[in-house]
Amino acid sequence: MRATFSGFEIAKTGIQSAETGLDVTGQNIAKMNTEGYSRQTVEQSSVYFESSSYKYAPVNNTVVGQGVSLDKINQIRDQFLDSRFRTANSQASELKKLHSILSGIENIIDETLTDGLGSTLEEFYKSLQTLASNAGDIEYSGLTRSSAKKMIESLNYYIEQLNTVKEQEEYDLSVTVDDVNTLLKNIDKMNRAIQVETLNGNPTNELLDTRNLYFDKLSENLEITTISNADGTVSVMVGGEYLVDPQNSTYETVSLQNTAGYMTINAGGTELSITSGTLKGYLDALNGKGAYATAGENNFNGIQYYKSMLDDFAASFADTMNDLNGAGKPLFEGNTAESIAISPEWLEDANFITCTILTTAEDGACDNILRMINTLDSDISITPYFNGTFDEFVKSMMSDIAIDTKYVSDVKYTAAKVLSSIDNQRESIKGVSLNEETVNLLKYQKAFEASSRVITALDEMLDTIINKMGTVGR
Amino acid sequence: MRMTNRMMSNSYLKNLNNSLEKMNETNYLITAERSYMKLSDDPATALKAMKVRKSLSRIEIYENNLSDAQGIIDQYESTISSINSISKEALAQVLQGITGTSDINVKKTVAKTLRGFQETILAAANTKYGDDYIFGGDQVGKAPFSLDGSGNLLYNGQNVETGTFHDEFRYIDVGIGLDVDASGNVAPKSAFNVSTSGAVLLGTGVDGNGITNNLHNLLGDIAEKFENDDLSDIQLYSDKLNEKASDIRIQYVSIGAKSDYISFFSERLYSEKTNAAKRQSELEGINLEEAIIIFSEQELAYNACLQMGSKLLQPSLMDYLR
Repeated sequence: MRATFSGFEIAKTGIQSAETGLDVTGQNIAKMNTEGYSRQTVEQSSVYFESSSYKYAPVNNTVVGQGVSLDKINQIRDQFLDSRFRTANSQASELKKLHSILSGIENIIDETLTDGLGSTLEEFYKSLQTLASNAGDIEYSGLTRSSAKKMIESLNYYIEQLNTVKEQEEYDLSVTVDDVNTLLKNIDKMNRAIQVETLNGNPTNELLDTRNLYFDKLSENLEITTISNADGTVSVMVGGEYLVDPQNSTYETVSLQNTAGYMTINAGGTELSITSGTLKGYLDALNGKGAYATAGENNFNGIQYYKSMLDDFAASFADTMNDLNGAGKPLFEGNTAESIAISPEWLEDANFITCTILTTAEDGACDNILRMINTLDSDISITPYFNGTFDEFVKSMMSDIAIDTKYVSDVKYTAAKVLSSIDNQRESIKGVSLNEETVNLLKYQKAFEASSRVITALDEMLDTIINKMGTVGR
Repeated sequence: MRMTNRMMSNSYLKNLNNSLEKMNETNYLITAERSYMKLSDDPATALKAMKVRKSLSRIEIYENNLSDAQGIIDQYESTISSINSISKEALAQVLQGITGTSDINVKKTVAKTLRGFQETILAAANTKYGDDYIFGGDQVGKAPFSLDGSGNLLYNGQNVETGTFHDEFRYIDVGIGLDVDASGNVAPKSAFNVSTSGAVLLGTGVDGNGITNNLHNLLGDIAEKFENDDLSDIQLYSDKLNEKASDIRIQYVSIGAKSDYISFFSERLYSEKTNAAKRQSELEGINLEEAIIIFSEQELAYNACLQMGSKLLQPSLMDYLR
């Protein structure tokens, strides 16, 4: 015998599950475009027959199940894809940042559409040639002086621009470090909330979404390793350092350290080893000394590399020209790209440039000018790492930045593709599909209607039993 | 793969943006008529183009230098041509004076003419090209020839008969591998010498007979003989004048060789320039037809993408249910 009202109970669970299903569907549709949201599903199971709750064994075996049970509302997510996404995100962001800084440097050095060091150097060379045909004429030596001045100004300008880029990026870096700290703090906050709600047995899906979003954002800045703990919290590690450590209820604050122009990111007194992310991009561009790096220093061709190159160019150029002009007769003073200038003697008298060392002729003989021209066309050790003409040196600088920028731009493109493909895979699992949700909508609506119909049917059956049975002959 | 609406709209947006970006790039290239806009667009080509730019600039320098040299040579030629005709005329006058009448007035006239020639030669030897005295050798800032108080001809301050003169050079780099040593000596074949020494032009010192080698002084000496009506050793002097006249003629003729040299190099530079300019346009320029076809293709793709958007983004099952 079945209990008279057991059917109602079954139908009721049906109605309830349909309602919950509709609620979850509604939630999914509402949040389909919310960043970080992962779709949710209702986990339901059959209520099974359990003989131990019966005093006597059932007399026949036509016992039906007891309806449906709502177990849990699940969030659909793939942790493996999450961690792949974060690694890819770090790499893509690093390259993006690096590319933007390198483009800034390229803009300064590139002479494709504008005049720069290379063309002013060529102009100086040209003015020497003109002076050679008109040696001793004050207007031509004046022309040479003004083209030398122009070249020096473009050196000064390069350094000034590089410094501007450097300052800008240093500022941006400090802002990024602040962002990282805010994220770490928020992750800690989420960890605590999740811990409490998990203990209380409450759903934490939305909190998990938010925390995951923070991880995604953090991974943009530096590569992180996350370790899930049993209590639902997650520890964050960077290069062996715990940045968020819920086991000990602590989180670190990272800080930017500038040691004589060498930037490091520290946490808890130790330097963080940063392997990718925008922070790595900033550090490479700001610390990179290229060929000038000694063991242990950053050898990326960064801002410092180009500054050293320009300084060496300036020093070597001033030295070479001063030597050629004769002992104690310097044409230039200063030995860095920032400080190099026309010597006061030359400024005072354009003819201070020595035209001849062979004769005492005042006008006409130009052997020394030819010697200068010849030297400008000869190989000189401009830096310990470069032997060639000044002109080739400028070109080599252009080739360095062009090849680096091109390389980073290509890899950036690939990294962005990889990131977008992983993101798509992830979205394919966690994203909300409107088609699916519409089908769910119909499914649950129909289930609701059907369960209600079952109740109506049961009701009519009871009506038959109560009101229409045993009325024969009445 | 399970597709979601967000995936569709994200990738649609990304593709639309890519398509627009490409159009923008092509648009830039076409309006600038360049195959690249910055170094990193195409480092190899850009660096090659930089090299070509340098050789173009060098060619321009050498062309300027050659045209400077040509100007000097032209001036030199016209001056020396007039000195040449003067020396020829002087020789004729002297011969006439010797063989003709013994009339003292005729001799005086010859002497006067020769004195006139002297002045003309002096003026010619002090000719300027621009601001430069072209017969000044390596010193072109002041007039090379002058007369001292006692009427001696000085070249750059030294008496042409008693002074010591060295070779003078004013080299111009014409792109034949300039080679200068540390003390300023130019290897002679590595540059073009535009200096012309007035000393060499008119002659210096005295010969075995004690007769001056200098044309100007020689004319003076002969004039003096005519003035004094003392023609005893005039033959020696007229022979000397004859010698000087042919020397000047040889100098005059040899200018042609220098001019040829210049025009040969000018032509060579011109063809180098044409090649370099062609190479530059190959490297930096854009094939307009091709670029416009590419642009049209991109435009088509962009339009198609836009059109697809209206169909792609809207529909879901939702649209087909009441």
